[in-house]
This record gives sequence, structure tokens and C-alpha cells, in this order.
Amino acid sequence: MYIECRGLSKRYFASPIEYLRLGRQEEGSADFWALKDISFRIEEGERVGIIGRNGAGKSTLLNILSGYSHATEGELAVTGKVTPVMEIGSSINQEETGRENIRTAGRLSGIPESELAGRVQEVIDFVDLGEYIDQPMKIYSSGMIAKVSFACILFTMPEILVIDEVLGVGDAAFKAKSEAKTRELCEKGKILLMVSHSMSTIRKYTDRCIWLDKGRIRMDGPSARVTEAFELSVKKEQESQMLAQMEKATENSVFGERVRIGLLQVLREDGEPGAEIRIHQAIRVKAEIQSEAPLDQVDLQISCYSLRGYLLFASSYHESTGQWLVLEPGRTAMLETRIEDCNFNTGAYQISLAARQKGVLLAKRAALFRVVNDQYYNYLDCPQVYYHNRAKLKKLHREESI
Amino acid sequence: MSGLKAIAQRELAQILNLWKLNYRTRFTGTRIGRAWVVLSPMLQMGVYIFAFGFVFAGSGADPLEHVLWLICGYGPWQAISEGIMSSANSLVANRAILKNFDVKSHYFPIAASMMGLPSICVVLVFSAVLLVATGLGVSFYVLWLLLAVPLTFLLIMGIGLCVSAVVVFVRDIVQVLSVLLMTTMFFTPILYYPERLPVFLQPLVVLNPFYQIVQIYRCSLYYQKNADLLGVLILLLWICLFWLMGLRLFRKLRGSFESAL
Repeated sequence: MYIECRGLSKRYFASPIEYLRLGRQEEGSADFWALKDISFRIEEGERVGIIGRNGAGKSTLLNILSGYSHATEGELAVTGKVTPVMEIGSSINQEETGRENIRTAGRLSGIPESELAGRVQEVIDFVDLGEYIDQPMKIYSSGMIAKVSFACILFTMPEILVIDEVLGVGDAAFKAKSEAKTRELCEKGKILLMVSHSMSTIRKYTDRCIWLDKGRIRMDGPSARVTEAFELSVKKEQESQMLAQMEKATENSVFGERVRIGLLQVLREDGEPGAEIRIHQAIRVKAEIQSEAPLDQVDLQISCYSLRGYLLFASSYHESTGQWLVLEPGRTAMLETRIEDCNFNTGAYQISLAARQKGVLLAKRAALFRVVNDQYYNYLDCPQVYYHNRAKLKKLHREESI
Repeated sequence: MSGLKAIAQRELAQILNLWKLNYRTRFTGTRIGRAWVVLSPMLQMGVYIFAFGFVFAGSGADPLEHVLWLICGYGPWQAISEGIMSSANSLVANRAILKNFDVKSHYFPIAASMMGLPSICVVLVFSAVLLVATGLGVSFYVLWLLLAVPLTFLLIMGIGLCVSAVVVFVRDIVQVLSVLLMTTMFFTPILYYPERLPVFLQPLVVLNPFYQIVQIYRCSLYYQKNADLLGVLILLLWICLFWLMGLRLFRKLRGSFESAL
């Protein structure tokens, strides 16, 4: 028993009418390739997870392997009966009771009438819905419907079990029960193929993992290694998205009618302007404030935010000096402050400066800076090495001081 | 050989399960439930028989005999119409089953085509009563029914296969289909005699598979004579054509159902 794909590709046509043009070979500009040139072989006994971002082609691949969909190009060989478990949360007939739906599912799964009553009871015991089992499914909550749909998997006698993101339905007790049952099913199934967005689920149930990215295989290997690489990639992508959002927010942050923060600049320790600051070094912030009218009792508040939007610190001119700022028209007030070794990790940060008078916001401006580490290991990539080096560094520093 | 028999039995059981499921889905939640399976075609047939048997009836013929003639025409048509409409929507309506169970997709239109079976049963029961009431009695020509009933469902299945595969991608067809079926009914001599058709259309009526189906029922029950062999041959050709087209469409399109369902 095995599954073998060679150069498997799947094209979706832009218009439904295109599907009806039988034998159409030419590619339309708006057509979409959900899978492109997928090749792998899965041997008997393997438990394979398929991961990837939304739209990577995971479900399309499972649909093709389970025979529900056909590939546009390539070859596919599947030896063995495929049992697909693709959708949870839909009942067969909403008007019928849970018991009747379970019975119908048993019949559709090919259970002989002689065994049906016993198997139905087995599933009913598993679902444990009490008196609700004899109520129409239209009154069930979505969780109850998902429980019944999931329990119907118990009817399957898998040779090749194909599961698409259906684990973890119901409450905690049912979740534990269903996980145990799935593991049991996986052991019965000679080949398991599972799609999930939960990396822990993939690591728990599978020993090999295929990472799909934009319809192509990006990585194929042991589940632990592939899921780790995938998580890191997702993290990096999220960070770059957040940085883009932060940059956009920074560009839009300049406002103020009577009072204007004309300049907000992050400087290096030596006073040189630069958006990149080396780790563990002090940061200098320079700002220029102008006003169209004489204003007193003005306070300046400086705040620093991480990439994820967490406030790292905040300080105010009035709190630090006990004085208020007096602004006069035609004159520029200049502020320069120094933030000592603030132990920032590598990454992007936002400095925000706000001018307020008796709590009323007069003007605001933000600037970005990035802390870089050109000397040590990156904390995010390799925390254990970072701590090790950091400890050594501190020790060296003390020795040098002596 | 026994292995093949077991497979055939299992596949047949699948179609039968889907057929039963169609009825349950249609009538669960109603007050009288399964009684509608028979009551629904009876009521519909009753309305048409009243309208075309009494209100628009011509003078001369024995009213009961005319009713028998009407039932032999409208009953099979009702089965055809019901079967085609049900099979047209069968893949879309059973999306969840198609995705989660190992059931062959072409079984859905085939099972749905059988939704007209109660109409045929009603025809047979009513006809039996009327044959006794009119004194016409039952002749050995009734054996033509053994051909007429399977041919009716083979025709519905063939059309159902074609339509259901296309409906997955173009849902509007279901809306057009009911109008198209009504138009076909009025252009086919089902509720009236072929002589009432415009003269230029009369030679073409032999090519109409629905007319040929109806004629076999009428020959076996009402006219009590052999069905026209040329007509049966034409009907068989239509059935072959619809099945070939249906299977070809299915083979080409089933791989893409998932994208539209």
C-alpha cells in the first residue's frame, strides 16, 4: 500500500463556465494554480502531516488524494481504500434526530444492517448527548453538531485515513476522548494523512510532515523539524507585517494645529543620526517643538512601544524635571533626552512623543528605530546560545573592570 | 464471482440508501411524514385530471376512459419531471455526504432520479382500478410495462446525469429547468391528442422521447396493443445518447466539483 504523486498540479478556472469547456487546454490569465508540481511517495505505515498557510493548497491536495477532486496535471497512484474525514459541523439531515443521522451515516459508510444497531449504539455512547440524541439536530448547538459529525468517524474502517482539520471539537472532556479515539484510528489506519493548523497536533499524530507554500512543497521531512521551520517562518512573516503596520502608523502620526512637533529623531549614543542602534547601547532622542501662540504648562510625554504594540516605558518632562515647558510663537523648543542601557532585544521599536497642556493633546509624532546585534546570536533565533554568551560577556566585563 | 456479487450488492445498497435519504430529507418535519410520498403525486395528478379530464375535456369519450388515458400520460410525465428536478440538484444538496463519505458522485443523480417511483406506483394502482371500473380489463399487453418502467427511469437517469453535473457550476439551470419542463409538457401530447398539435409539428412528435415513453404506457394499459417498435427504438437511442453524454460530462467534471460545491 502506498500513495505516490508525480508532478501533481491543480488549476482552478477563473470562471465556472470554463469548467464546462471540456478539453480546454490553454491557460487563462486569471486561472489559479492551487497546486504546482507536487511529488512525493508515502509508504505503508507512515503518518504524514500537511501544513501551510491558508491557501497553500493543503485541502486541495487532500481532496485529490481522497478522490473528491482530480489533478489537472501529473500522476497519482493510490493503492488502498481512502477514508476521507473532511468536514465537521454539518449534519446529514437537520430535521432528523442525532440518532437517525448517526444511523444514516453508518449506512452510508457501508455498515451491514446486521451490525448497524450495535455500531450506532457505540457511537451514541461516545457522543454522550443524553436525551438530546433523540431531538432533531436543528436544535443542536454548533458544538453538539460537531460532536455528532466527529463521532461518525467511528464508523470508518480506514486503510488510508485522510483527516482535514477536524480534531479538537467539543468541550475539554470530549476533546480528550476524541484525541484518544483518533490515535486509536490512526493505529488502525495503515496510512494517515492529516491537515492541521495546529503544529502540536501535527507533532503529536505524525512522524513526517510536508510543508506546502503557495501550492508547492517547501519542505518535506521529520515533523519536528518541518513544523519548527514553519513556525519560525510564520513568526518572521508576522513581524514583517507588524513592522509595515508600525511604519504606516508612524507616517500618519504627525498632527497638531497650534503646536507642531517639527522633528523627532532617534540618534545613536555618539549623537550620530541613524535608525539602527546596537544592542545594549544608549539611545538619544531629539525633538523640536513649535507653537503659533504662547502656551505655558505644556508637558512632553515620551513612550516606547515594541513591535507587538506593548508599552515598554513612558516618561514625562514634568515628572522628570518638576517643570512645565513654556512655548512661544516664532521660537523652537528643542528637547534632547538620553535613554540609558535599556536592554532592548533586537527588533523594531517605536518612540512616540506627545505634547499636552493640562491633559489635552496638542501634538503627537512617532519615529521608528531598530536595535541590531552585529556581535552576538539573535535572541529570537537561538535563545539558549544568547543566554550563554550574555553570561560570559558579563563575566568578562567584570574582569575588565577589575 | 462472489466477490463481484458482494461489490454489486454493496453499491446497490448505497444507491438505495441515498434514495431513502432523499425521501426522508424531503418529508421529515412534516405532520404526516411519509404519507406525502404517495399523497403528493396523487394530489398533483388529481388536479391535472380534474382540469384536463373534466374542465377542458372534449365531448364524446367515456369520462372514466379519458381519465385512464390521462393518467397513463400524466403519471409517467410526473415521474420524469420529479426525477429530473431532483437529480439536477442532487450533488449540490448532498455536498456534505459527497465530501465526507466514500460514495461515488454519480450515485446521487441516479438515486434522485428514482424520486418519481411513487408517481409510477400511483399510475399503476389508479389504472388497475379504472380498468376494472371501465370494464376494459387487463390484457397481456400490460407486459409492456416491464419495459416501460425501466426505460422511464433509464431516461431520467441519463438526463439527470447530464444536468446534475452542469448544475454544480451553473446553478441557474435549476431555475430554468422547471420552466423548460413545463414547456416540454405542453409541447408533448401528454394531456392532449397528437392531432391537436400544429400540422408541421406532428411528424416531429415521434422523435420526442417523452411522447414515446407515454405511448408505451398507453399502449399497454389504455389502447391494449403492442407499442410502436420504431418509437421504442427512437426512445432507446435517446436513452443511449443521454447516458453517453451524462457519463462523459460526469467523467470530465467530477474532478472539479469540489471547486464549486
